Amino acid sequence: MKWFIFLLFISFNSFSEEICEEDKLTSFAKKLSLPNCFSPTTLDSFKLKRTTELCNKCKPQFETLYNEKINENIPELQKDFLESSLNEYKKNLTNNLLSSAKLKTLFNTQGSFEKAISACKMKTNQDLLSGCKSEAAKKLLENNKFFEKLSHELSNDLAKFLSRNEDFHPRETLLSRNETQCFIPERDILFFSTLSIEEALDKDLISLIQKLDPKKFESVNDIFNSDELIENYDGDIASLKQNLFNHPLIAPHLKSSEKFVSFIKKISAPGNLDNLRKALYSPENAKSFDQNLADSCEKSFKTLKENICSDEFQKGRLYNDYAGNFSKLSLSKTLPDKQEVASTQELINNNLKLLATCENKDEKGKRHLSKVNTDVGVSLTPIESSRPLEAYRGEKYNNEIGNLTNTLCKLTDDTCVEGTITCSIFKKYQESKKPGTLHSKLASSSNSEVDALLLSMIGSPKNLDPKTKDILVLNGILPKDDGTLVAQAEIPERQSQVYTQQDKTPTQSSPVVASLDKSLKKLAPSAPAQGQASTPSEYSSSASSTDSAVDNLSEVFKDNNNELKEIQDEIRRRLQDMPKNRPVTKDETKKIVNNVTKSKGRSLSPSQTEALTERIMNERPTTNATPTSFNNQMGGSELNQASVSNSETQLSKWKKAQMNAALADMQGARRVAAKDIIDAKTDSANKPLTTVALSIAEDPRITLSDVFNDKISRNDSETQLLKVLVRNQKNFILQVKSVNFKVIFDEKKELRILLESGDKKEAERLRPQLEMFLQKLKSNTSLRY
Amino acid sequence: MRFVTAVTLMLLAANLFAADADCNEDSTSALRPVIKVAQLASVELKCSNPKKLRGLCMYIGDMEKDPNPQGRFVYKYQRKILEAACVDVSKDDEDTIAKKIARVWKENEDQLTCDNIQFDVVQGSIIKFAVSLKFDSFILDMAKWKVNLNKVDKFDDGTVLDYVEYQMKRMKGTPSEVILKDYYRILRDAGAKYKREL
Repeated sequence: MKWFIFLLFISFNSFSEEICEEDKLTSFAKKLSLPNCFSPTTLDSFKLKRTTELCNKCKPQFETLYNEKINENIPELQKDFLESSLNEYKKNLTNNLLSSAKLKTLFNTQGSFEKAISACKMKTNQDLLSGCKSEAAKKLLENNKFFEKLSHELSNDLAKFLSRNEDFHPRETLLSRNETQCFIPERDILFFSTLSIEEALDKDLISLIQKLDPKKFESVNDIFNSDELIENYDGDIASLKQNLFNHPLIAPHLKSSEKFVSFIKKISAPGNLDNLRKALYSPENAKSFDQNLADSCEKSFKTLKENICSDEFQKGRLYNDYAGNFSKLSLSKTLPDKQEVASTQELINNNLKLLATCENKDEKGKRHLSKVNTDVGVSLTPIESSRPLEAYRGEKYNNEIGNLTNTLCKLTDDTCVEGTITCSIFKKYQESKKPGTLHSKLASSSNSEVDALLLSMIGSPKNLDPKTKDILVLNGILPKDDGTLVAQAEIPERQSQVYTQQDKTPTQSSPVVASLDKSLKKLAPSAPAQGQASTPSEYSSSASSTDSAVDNLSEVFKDNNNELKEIQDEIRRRLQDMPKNRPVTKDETKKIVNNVTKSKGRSLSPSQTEALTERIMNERPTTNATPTSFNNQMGGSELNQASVSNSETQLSKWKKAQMNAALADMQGARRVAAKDIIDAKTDSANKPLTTVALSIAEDPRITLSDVFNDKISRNDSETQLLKVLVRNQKNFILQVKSVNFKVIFDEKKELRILLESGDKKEAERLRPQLEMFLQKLKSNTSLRY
Repeated sequence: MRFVTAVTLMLLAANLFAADADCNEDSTSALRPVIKVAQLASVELKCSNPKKLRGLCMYIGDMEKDPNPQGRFVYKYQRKILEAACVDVSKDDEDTIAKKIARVWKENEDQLTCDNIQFDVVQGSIIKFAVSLKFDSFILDMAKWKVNLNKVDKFDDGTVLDYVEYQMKRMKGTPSEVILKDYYRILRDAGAKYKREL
């Protein structure tokens, strides 16, 4: 019989040359031992899920077997159905979370998201199983921690978006980050792109759209493709349209031409940026967003539950449409290569699954997986809908963040094409790198109205790992253990007017802007004060410094900042080679500065040499700036080592440590901490440790996070000393207010902060921020303010 | 030759009265017969209506379906391309369709680029855009129609094959890698080359 099928297959192939159109469907068909069932026409039909031709040709070959086996396949049908629809549910929730997370970095709408908070609340297994009549569904979901895992993944995603720490890579996330050429915090990407999209929708275009009759257009795309718009818009309108989909408050209006025109008509004349933002960030639009999000969450879960708990599911009356869903089902994973006939049981089963498509297609009373998936994945685009979960994870991240990150990393002033949205985002990104700019601060500010929504979406925090929890606590999304939320940097008047006015005259006339600016300066006085040292990375952007010598120095290298950096690196390298048993003197440093600059073919004036020497000396604690305890403890050798602390080895070690910390579960971390306390006590009994007193002036209007960031920006002597200690992994005592912490490095060189003495509650409040602060000091790469 | 001249004159005359006339649009009923003849002739000679190619990135980006599908052509991008190349689905066979489309494509290639924040090639080829979206149908059509696959974009200095290879490395070990490998094979078979091979 096998030989007969094989011969039939050979002879058929010789007559149908076009069968070998090599695409994945053909290879799929070959793997199913049904290559002769496909022709180009049926392939296209197959894509469109019209499988009649395939069924007519191939089903008879399996008819008997199919009838025999159909009942045996029920558990597998149920399992595939459940898995596929749960995956669509995950994708839908991820999309919803991402839209909400984007909102966090925008302006307040003065609305609330009550409906979504209720409808999008993270569900539990119990929610799915309560009232569920299907025993098969219950059995499949038994011991399945689906929702706990989902909650964990979503929280990790959110923490990743909100954290500025580029080394925080939680393992279990729904969206996966691949390599990127450089690091740009995710929330900055989301923030800058939405701002640029709004700016691209100019008033002439708004005015034109307001005049259109939506009934004349089949779709929103056709509106943007109309002569009226194309001929009167300077930029690339197709690009604009595509980008509008990325704006969380515009995207819901793009579902139909009527909806879109109706929304645009709500923008008051003149439809400038200010009025556009008034319409976008209005309570009315917030209500619409709320309703859409709530509908999406509600419909998704309701469909999932209805179908999984249905009588049809229980009886296995399921139409899994393997042909249309093959990439989403485990079917494609198990197929061996180069099999031309169904010679194994596995292949026969796969053929049967495929042919079930023929059997059930038009039969009523069955649950159709494709339809269920469409309804469960209500917020997904057609492309997202067509992807299996694993593919969606990588692609979604890339589409929303990764690709733009790569583009911004590659773009230069020369390749930035004026008038394009990408170029506009690039400029905002460049601007944000300058310390203390409005954009850089607003990108990290909070939006309390969205926090409640995000909190509801991620569900119970009990399963979070400590690192993720800390980040969410610090960002004011999760409450602290005492139930209160960490106050976020309050940016007054986060209204659309702020941006419009700021764009025109950032520091003049507007009391709102003035107040905002003042507030920001208070939060993070970023430019180095007179006579204070800057970190090396600030050289290129320290034009605002009042230090004239430094200005002179910058002037000399204005055409080539890289050269200045190279010179500094070389100086640091030579300093490292100096004898390690004593501190390096200023004269020695000056000599090295002179030698290095000469070797690079540069000639500096005495004042410039002095400035560079000062700068290099200030990078490290000098004997004048260093407390006595420091000198006693460390001597000169550590000073030299400190100046090269950004070596790759240390960085990679730290990255590894961070990763481990992120992956550790809460209980594990506590056990380790408890052990550390014992170790630390034993250790402290042996020898006295260096004590560093950290002076922080807390202000109720600013967060602890900003206080610490401010210290990093100012790079004062305490901060410099701490840098040296943590980079050299020295244990020490840190006094913060009335609390003494013991900072130790464990066997894996991981930094741990233990309470030595003082108020426990106060210690709990300070510890997460302190840990982030010290981690930042440990790594040069995070010093970006 | 005389036929060509006559047709050209007819086209000019028709255009005088109907500046906007294109392959599928009639303008005035009085001129309809003349325009019809001219249109038919122009298809034979050289029909290209690049205006129809506008906004192609939108239709691809949204995978927008055609509300009036023609046979196997179910996406709106297909309708736009077919119209731009003056294809008559009921008359033209697959070879003729491919030839017409490949010619229109070549003539308008510089305009067939997309700029989108979800797409990592600034003003990159529309085929690369479809690759980044994993839009199978479009890739298969491009291969089938044998359009030029070897345009080099300024931003990434590579062809579509370079781009697929870059994406394959980027997506190594993920399900997307499998799809990209398939694209690689399809495009390679259709004549795609690396920039270094040009």
